[in-house]
Amino acid sequence: MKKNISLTVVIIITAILSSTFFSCQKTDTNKLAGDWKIVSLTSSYAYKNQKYETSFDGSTKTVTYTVTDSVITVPNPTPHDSTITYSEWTSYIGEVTTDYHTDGSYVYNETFKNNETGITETKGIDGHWYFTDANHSSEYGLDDLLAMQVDKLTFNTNFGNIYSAIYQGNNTLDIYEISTLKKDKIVLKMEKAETINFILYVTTTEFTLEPR
Amino acid sequence: MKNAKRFLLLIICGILIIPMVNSCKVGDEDSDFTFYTRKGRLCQDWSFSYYKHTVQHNDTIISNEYDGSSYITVFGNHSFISSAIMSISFNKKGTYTWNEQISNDTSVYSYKEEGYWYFTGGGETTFKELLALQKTSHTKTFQEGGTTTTDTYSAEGNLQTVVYRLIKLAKDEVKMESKLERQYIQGGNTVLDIETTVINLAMGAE
Repeated sequence: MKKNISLTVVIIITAILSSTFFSCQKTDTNKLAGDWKIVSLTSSYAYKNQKYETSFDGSTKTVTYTVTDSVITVPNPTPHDSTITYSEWTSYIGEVTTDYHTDGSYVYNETFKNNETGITETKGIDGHWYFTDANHSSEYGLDDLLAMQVDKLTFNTNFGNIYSAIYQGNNTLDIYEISTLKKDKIVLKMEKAETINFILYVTTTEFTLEPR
Repeated sequence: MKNAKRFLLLIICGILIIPMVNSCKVGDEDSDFTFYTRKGRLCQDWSFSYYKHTVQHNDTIISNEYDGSSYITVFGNHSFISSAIMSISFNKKGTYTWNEQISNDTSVYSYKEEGYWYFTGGGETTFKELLALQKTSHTKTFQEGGTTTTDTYSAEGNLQTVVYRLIKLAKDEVKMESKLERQYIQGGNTVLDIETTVINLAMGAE
């Protein structure tokens, strides 16, 4: 009887240890995999008195640049500075697709035709994607963040290649928070504020993906 | 009959132990077996036993190398040797602190960086083979001839991270490296930039 109990205890301990070490294995990478298109996107980048904003509804993209300044002295009724806001915007027609593969690679493509100039611009990225592990301090759990690593970047217009770069190795990771991860919908967002030598730079991006 | 039962139980135990041996060897130089988790192994106070950061732009190379006491900067045919202390601490709550103090007869440079750390990986790498460092602040101070210059950075949110491949993650030693090659065309010429960082850590911050 005693021997049976001790063997049972050995098995239980072994099973517990084994399950602990099973946790070292890879996380499930199938959640994200698929061929997706961006159906909506809003992003902005602001520093000092300047702001760049982009909105995209799945076919029309508008890029707006705004600068706010207070340089004009208005003489009447009493001299004071006046604030002016200057804006300019450009509209495009096009599409954005992203395919996440189960082997950890991804392909991003965007094609937009400038409504004013008629020039078509294409941007392509090949890279790797990763989930990050949990972090108590930043309050993100396992698979809450998506890290994207660029391996190849190309930017072309219908007048030829403008820029291309190939990265090999441990390129920096762009981090996105996974707001929604369903079979038919993914929402990713990135919000960051950086203060570099007392100047604040704020970036926000949020986009929704649906299957193609 | 009793012996047969016992034999069967031992086989079951053996099968359950197999994944213990294989699943935790992640880095090339990791041991085959350990009772400590990867988090448990990483989260300690470390001193740098070796550090080398090299930046190459075409044929121009700048390197900074630390052997545990001396910090050597090499640029072209110039080299500068200073004494230094470098340490890094990883906290189980997910934060890290990186400290450097490099000094010579005429100047003192100090650097403090703080941020979040994450294990990551997948695809061509194993999960938790990569260590991502997300810097949330740094302060660089350079003192020379009575003049102090300071460079500050602070940030929050979904910040870009640098990433290292963990070659060895043991309770008493960590080896990691980050290598990035970037090739692009500028003015009709192909440009090659290479940035490499090699870090070896030993137990205990000095």
